[in-house]
Amino acid sequence: MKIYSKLLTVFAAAFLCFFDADCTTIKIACKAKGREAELIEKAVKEWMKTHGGEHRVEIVTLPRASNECLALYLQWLSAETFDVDVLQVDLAWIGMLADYLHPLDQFLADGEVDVGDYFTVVRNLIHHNGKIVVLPWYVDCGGMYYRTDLLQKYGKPVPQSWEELRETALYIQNEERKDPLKRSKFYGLGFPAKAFEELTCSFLEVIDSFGGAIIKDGKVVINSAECVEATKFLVNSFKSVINRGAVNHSGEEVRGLFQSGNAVFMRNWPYAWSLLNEPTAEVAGKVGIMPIPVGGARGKPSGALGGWSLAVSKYSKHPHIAADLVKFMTSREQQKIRSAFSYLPPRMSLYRDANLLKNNPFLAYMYGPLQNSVARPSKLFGKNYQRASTEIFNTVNTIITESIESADFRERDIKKYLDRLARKLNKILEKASQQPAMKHADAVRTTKPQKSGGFLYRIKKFLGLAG
Amino acid sequence: MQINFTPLGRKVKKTNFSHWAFLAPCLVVLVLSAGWPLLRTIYFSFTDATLDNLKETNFIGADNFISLVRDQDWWQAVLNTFVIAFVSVPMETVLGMVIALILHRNFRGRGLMRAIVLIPWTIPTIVSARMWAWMLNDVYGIVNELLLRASVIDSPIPWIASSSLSIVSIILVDVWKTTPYMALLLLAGLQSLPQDCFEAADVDGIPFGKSFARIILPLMKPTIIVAVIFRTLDAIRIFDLVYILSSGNSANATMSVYARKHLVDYTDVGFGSAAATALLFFIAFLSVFYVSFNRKKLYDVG
Repeated sequence: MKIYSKLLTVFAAAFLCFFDADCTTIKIACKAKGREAELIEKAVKEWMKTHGGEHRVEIVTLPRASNECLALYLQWLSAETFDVDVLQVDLAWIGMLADYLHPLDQFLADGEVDVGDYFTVVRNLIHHNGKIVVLPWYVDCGGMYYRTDLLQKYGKPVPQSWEELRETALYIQNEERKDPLKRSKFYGLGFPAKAFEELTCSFLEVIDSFGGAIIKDGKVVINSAECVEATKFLVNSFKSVINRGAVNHSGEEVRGLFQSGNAVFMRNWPYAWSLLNEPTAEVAGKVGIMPIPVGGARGKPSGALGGWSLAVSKYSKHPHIAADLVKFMTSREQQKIRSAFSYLPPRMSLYRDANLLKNNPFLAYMYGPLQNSVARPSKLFGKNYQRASTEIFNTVNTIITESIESADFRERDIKKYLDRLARKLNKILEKASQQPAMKHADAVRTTKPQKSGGFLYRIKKFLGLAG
Repeated sequence: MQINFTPLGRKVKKTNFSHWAFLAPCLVVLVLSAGWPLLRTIYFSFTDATLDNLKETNFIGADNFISLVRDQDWWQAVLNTFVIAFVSVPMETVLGMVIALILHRNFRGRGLMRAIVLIPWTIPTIVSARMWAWMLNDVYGIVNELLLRASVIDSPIPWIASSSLSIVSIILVDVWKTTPYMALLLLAGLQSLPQDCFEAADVDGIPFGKSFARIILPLMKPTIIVAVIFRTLDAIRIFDLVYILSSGNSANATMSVYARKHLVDYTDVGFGSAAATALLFFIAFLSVFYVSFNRKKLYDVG
């Protein structure tokens, strides 16, 4: 009987809503599947309850692959008739999507959202032209996982620097390989180097940990001495402690290696934590996580920042209601609930909340990596970020592949590759800065030499087509 | 014979009209579903359209095509595509012929066997590509595990990670996947051949090798040519296998992977469409070449 009465209420509400002109439907697009979808549904129901069933929410599910979501957003938003109100936006996309997002300041009462509480890297990303355009939902940060049991077994401390890490990894790798079963498949370090966005992240944190950067003070410095040193270190690690196949491994394959007990260290995202600690996992309870270690003499601990935010579409017909939903979904309370499921809150104060920490010590482990985290230069590249990122991960993947496979690869070739990469990035950056008004800006093509005095230009000028 | 009373001309006109009327729905669907997107892609290839701006585009002439032919990555993609197509199709043809000849024989459980052989082809490519990516994984893939246990190799081989091996792996998986399709086409051809030739050859006691070379192959030529054309055109469009199995580096891309990258990842619809149009050009050129080259031979036999 209970279920019937429940159903009846739902139908009644839907029926009333159908005729009630005041009832608005807010559409929210998110990538939720499985457990996360349940969390979102629960939150959405709670929000509807606080508004006395005045508004309805419809969840639109996005594709699993992030780059496909972005392409879908761009297509939808350019149609201008887009009827999704709330969008789940990757923190790296804000530069690309900002023109389509509704500024949120006008919906935020004074002090309603304490921007100062967000991690500095996050805080630096959420504005566009001085206005807040997204509210951060949860953050991600690259970290270094390690096997506590193996370090203990061989009496090694948790390494603080890359050099120490590689030594430890090599030592344990050699020791473990004495076991004939592990002879050919035990590795010191799992590192995702497949030519995808993830490699841009993992490479960024390696150069950052060596004191290098992709862009510094508006200038491309990816070929600086620090970056060359970091790349050399990475290439040499591939020759000693990383499996060769890693050039085609994404985070998931690397997790497969680590979770089956065949690696001492692993670079991965926080999501792996709860999977590694599932009771059926071989390494459950034997895993620790720390920031990406310090590299070289001028280095610092690091970790690439990822993460998601919620935003209101510029084409939403009910921006104030949509903004209210966004505020609710990204509120302290919601982030507290979600933190229990490895969705790390972007608010620093939650990492000092004794109650939360008691139930979820993982939060305390991640505070360090997050504070040291470094953001991808997506804002500077704006709409051309994907192009810049592709150049980066292609070059790094090529350097690693070449160094493993080609006998005549020398260390000085690294500098050459990085110089070429810097030139390409400079070109992209130049074009990006020439187009401050992003909308309808021409895409930049690095491979396209644009000679204004060229033959084609003259023909076009003759025909009156050139601007 | 009432029909004779109707003036012949009018009757023909009527039939003409009615057959167009019957064809119309099909033609409309074809134009809408194939013709329109095709023309739109060709149109976009001459503009600077981006994914978030498909309306206010500027006509930029052949600029996209000029930068396409200047792009080293594109020519690498063209080379990769042709290597895959021209290595895998002959392998599939030979293997497909062998399987077709076996399945053409009369043996117990032939129907079941014919169904089983088709399985690799019926699995969606994206699924089988993922499956192979797992099996070919260097650390926990079953292929390396078996080879290691049999002591064929002493350290794992990075099947899909090494730049030289990954193209071999892609070709092998493609052969595994499409040989059944080839076998199906060739088997259909074999079954439509006049059976009396085979019987005569059997009666005369001609060895199989000779009857294959002298009877089956010449009679099968038209079928083989059609099957090879189909497969080659199909292989040039190869996308999913490469997308899943390769490391994502531009050096391993094929033409359609290249086009997708520019169109979707870089949101550069104009340039991506130019790449897609160039791919279409390659396919059109090859089919015209094939058909005109083989026309004489095709009709020689028939």
